[in-house]
Amino acid sequence: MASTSTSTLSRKLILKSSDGEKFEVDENVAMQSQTIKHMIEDLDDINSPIPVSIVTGTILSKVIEYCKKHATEDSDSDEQLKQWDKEYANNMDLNTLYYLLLAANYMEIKGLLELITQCVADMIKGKSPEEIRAHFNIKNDFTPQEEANIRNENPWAFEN
Amino acid sequence: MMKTKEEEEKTISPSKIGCYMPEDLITEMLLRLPVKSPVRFKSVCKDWSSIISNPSFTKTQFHLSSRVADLKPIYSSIEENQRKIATKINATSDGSLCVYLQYIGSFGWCIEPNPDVRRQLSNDALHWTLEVKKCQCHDIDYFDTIDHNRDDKEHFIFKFDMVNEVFERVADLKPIYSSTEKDKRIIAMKINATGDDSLCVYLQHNESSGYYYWPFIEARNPDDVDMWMITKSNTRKKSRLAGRCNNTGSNHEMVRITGNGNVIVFENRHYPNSMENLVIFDGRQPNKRFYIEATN
Repeated sequence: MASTSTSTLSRKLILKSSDGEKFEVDENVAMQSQTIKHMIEDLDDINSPIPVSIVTGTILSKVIEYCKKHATEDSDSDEQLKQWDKEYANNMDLNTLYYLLLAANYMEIKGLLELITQCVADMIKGKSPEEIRAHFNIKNDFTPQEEANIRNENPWAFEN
Repeated sequence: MMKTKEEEEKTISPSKIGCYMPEDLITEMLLRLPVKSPVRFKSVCKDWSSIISNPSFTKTQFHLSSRVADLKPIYSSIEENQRKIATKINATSDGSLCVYLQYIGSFGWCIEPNPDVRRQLSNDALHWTLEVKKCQCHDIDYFDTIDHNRDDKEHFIFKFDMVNEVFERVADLKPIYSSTEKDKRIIAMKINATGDDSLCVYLQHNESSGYYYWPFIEARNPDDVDMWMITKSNTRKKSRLAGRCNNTGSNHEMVRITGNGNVIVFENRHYPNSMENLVIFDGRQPNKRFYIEATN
């Protein structure tokens, strides 16, 4: 790891999305992802494209946008960076957020994972169980009796 | 090369979203919700229910949300030199927290404590102050006799809504000092949530005579007791139920409020070696009371 960090400054890596799109990025940008970091360590030929197998090009470009912002140190204050994070997340629709979440999880980018998780949590916090099911497309696998039992356990949680 | 958003949405089947989410991601997301939401989301599906019901989830949630409220903003509405001297906090069964705050103006008298001070002081607020400021004791009684301006004392009850994470001022206890009762001060305060989600507030106050042989509070008149029932449906409106009891001593700690709104007071008549009587007030009709005489 020490040897890579000393010679990384201008090194470029190529990331390849699940749908075959290729992105050339600075190594320090890609290293924000723990998964890619580990992949590079095992890689013989650094010039061959690194497959990011479950992430599509559209999502990967968004991930790279985040990593680029967070790879450049000292250019922004913490406050500015937080503001940037907020605007970045607010510009996503729900679908994109979900896939970003999966991507951040798979690529092990801690900051992005936390940002998106909190953002999704904020979106759903006031919703009813019915709305959540519609939101996440989850099938209600309770019998009416089981569901009633759960509601009766904590009636206060179901009031508005 | 880049797909447009419309194309992207065509290629993704939204119906798969739920199946895609790994359990650890769902857990992470649920942990970031206010306390009330995960309980409600137990009824979403069996997977979610088992995540939320897992004891380790509750444990982590408690750890993450151990700081539920920052009381500082409340100071801003009050003069800077005022400080909080008493706090009581209680959870109701509707998932709210009730917070009682008492403020007093700053003052300069400090009395070096002796080891017995804490035992002798009777005011809850003083107990609290002593516990926080271990090396100095602020004597509120003494302050009161020097400065008769009582308007700088404020008593509030706040409700902290755990879902929206906001404070709501549900009751202002100040009217107790109004007009004829100006010289009264609160010497004991208990607050408790009852089983039907009302809030029962017990206040005991006595008259300020101008002189106190500190640290003993010598109540020449029976202390007045107020009881407040603050119901959930109308938190703005509180009913004041007056009552009197012969709690002439300084043992104000001996007050308990039960879950059905009864207030239990141990009478203390200062007779050495004597048992104390037990008075049970019906919280909703304080004039209705039961005595349990001590047989000695």
